Amino acid sequence: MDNTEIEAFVTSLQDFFDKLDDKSVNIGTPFLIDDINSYLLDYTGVISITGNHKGTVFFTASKLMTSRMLQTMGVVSTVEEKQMDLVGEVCNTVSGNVRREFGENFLISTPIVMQGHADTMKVSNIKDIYLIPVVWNSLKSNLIINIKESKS
Amino acid sequence: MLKIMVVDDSSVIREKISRVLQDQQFELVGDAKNGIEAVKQFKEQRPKALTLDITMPLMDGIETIQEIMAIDDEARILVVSALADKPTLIKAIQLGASGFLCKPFSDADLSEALEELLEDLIDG
Amino acid sequence: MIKQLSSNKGLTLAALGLLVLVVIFVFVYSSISNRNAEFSTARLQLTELDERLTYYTASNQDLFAAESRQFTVLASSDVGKAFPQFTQLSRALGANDVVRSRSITKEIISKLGKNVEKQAQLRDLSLWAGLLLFFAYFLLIVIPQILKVSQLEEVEVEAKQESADIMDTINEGLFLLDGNHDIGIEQSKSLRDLFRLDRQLEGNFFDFIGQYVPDKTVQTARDFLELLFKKRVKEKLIKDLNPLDEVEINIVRRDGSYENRYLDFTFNRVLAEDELQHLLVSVRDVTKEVVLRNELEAAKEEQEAQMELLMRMFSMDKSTLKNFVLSSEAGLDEINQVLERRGYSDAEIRSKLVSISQQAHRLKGDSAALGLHGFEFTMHEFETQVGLLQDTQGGLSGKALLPAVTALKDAFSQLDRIKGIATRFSDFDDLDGDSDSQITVASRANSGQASLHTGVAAQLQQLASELSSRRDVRVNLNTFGLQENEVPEAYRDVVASSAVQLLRNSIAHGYSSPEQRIANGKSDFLNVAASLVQTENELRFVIRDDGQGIDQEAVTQKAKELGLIGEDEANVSVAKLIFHPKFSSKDEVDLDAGRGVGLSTVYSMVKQAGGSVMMSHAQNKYCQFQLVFPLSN
Repeated sequence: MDNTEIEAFVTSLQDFFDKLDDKSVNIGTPFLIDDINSYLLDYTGVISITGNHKGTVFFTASKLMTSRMLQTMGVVSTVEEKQMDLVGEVCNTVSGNVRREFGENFLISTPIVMQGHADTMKVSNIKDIYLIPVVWNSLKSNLIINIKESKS
Repeated sequence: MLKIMVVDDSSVIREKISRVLQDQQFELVGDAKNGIEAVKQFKEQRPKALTLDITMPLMDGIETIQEIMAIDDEARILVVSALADKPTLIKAIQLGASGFLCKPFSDADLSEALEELLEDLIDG
Repeated sequence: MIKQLSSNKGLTLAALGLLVLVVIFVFVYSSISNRNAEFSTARLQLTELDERLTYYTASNQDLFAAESRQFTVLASSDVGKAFPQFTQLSRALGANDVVRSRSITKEIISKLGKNVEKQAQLRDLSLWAGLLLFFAYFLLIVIPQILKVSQLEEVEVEAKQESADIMDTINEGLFLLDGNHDIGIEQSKSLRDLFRLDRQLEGNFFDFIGQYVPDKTVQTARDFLELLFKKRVKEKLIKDLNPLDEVEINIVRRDGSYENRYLDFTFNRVLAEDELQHLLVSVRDVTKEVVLRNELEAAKEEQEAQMELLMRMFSMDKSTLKNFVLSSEAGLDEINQVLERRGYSDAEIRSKLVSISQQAHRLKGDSAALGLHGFEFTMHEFETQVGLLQDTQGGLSGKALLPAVTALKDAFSQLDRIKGIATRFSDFDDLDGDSDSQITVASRANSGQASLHTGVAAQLQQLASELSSRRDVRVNLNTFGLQENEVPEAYRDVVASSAVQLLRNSIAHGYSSPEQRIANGKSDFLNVAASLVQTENELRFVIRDDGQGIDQEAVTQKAKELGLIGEDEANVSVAKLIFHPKFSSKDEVDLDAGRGVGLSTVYSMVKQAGGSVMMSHAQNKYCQFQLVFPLSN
């Protein structure tokens, strides 16, 4: 997968936070992981991708972060349901933006949202999964991109 | 003998094509390394056919086809190019090219393509 | 269709024949009947005359005259012409001759009677003959024609059924395109299945296909079909230009998810009476073939890469390889850990870059020494990306590191491949049952050279020959005390990595042309000596070349350009400068030198291991580096 596609995900996530408030969002140095499970935070949105590239993109955020985001957006209730809705919304926006940019060869499914850790998540045999830390208001979230070039 | 000219920015390719042409029933009347030279020589020599590269400096093959067709729309053009992407070749044929040959090619490939070009001349 | 037309023609001809036959028959029959009727009327008139004549006497002049006029008319009729007696009769009547008139009348009546009978027979005969002829004609010509037509109709119905069956069952999607590129109504059933549709395809072909393929492909397809519809363009010529052969299409499934398929569209001209009317389009699902082919190609590529690696690794000592894998793995992990460390400000990112670039440079050097060029190249790419970032002015964001991280990912997967092969080597050993043996597969493969290919010495020789062939220079390397078992375990990595960097440095910077060397009174090849000496309390590694030495002025100048020292600073220690992380005297960056991290990497590695570095040099004479490490016993 080309860096431009990963960058598109990061940029569009950055945009989402930029529009949330005037505090800047910080992108940490990306690194590689082989086990997604250990990097999942409280709420995780999952987007699957087909087309020339196949794989999965995760946006995972701590409960502290999602609660704070809800506050910023003026949502009073911070029940579970709202938190999950929010993560879903982040994923929807991000995937929508990326789809608009890459169109035909980069097909993105409607995101699903899950809570906590999932033990079923694939563990790669080598470090080939990107993790990009996204820090907003000193609160942590991770963008995890596990995409393999489909041979075509 | 049929008059023909060779247009290619690579002197190696020009030599290779010229050699094969001389073995066939063609009379080589021109040898150009870009589109501008090609059009100029075409006007002077009025060959019946030419082999033409696509990627060339100053004036590329596509533009050259247009220029040459404007002078003589009966001229037969064999596109000889490494730039084998379909849209470009389709464009070349739309504009009036009669055939194409992708680089790299063997002498036999070239002979065959030229024979077809010749057959086309007799038919047309 | 054409056959049916001709059979209809046969039937029409048969019917026409029948009509002609009927007309002729009617004409013949009616003319016979007419004549017969005329004759009968004439006989009746004569019979009546005969009766009237029995009452007439010669004195009835007026009556005779009237009769005579009547029979004169009759005499000139068809019947009268057939019987000359009528003229005699009219004369006899005119002469008021009752007897003669009666005898002529009787004569005519008897003759007419015979004639009428004959004619009646003829009429009946012709009727029968006509009927017979009709019957025969019907039997021999009309019925076979009718049968033929009905048979053809049957065949046609059958054919229609068959073609419907074909269209329902054929695996290919078939349809016709007209000149406006509209999709035809007759379609094979599988066509809709290929696109996962419930209904037939309809409308404009390009609008339809545009839902599945990129706009660019649609445009190319449009141009291509335009050419196909031009009759003057040879079908064969443009066959290979079809942009919709093995085209990848993306289909939305009913559940909203996507599916990728490869479809192969073939377009054939349909000529009717030499006019191009339609294109027959056939669509095939070639997903399996394409996927299989791609997999095969990938496997082949992978195999070739593996073969190359394998050949390289065969000439390598097993423990050297193992050390390389372990230390590289550790190195890559360390780079990754540095990246994972929290810190996203510009300063934090820049400090991360410094430490990872040193590590990367070491990995590059180590892999070059072993001739593992794929890995070396990837690390070079990584270093280049990191270097670009270091040169970037202004605030760095983590996002900018993505290209470097992609290179890192490639490095991980390459190392994994090397490790895979190395593991297979040891499996091979296990099978032989002598895995503890010092003799390695590699050394057995070329046993003559086995003793040369061990330890740091072997790595350095390999690197020297690699570099001299790559840079087209001549190098003579002598080593001492650097065989595998001569380097203490504790310092093996640092000695090996430093030696590699310093040798690269000697060759990259110390080399001058053979002519120049001879002019300076030296041999025409660069001599490099590397030695490791162990004393009671220290380990001393020395590497010395008889190259150009260090151009003090050039180094100072360069340091000023790089802003490492002030413009008017003089007498700065060259050693300090050349070990600075940012320093490189080479203007161009290539795989071997120019990053400026080589010497600084050595410096930080040696420091980390608790050692020290010393340098001495004389311009145009020599350059020497000495690394000293403490030994506890």
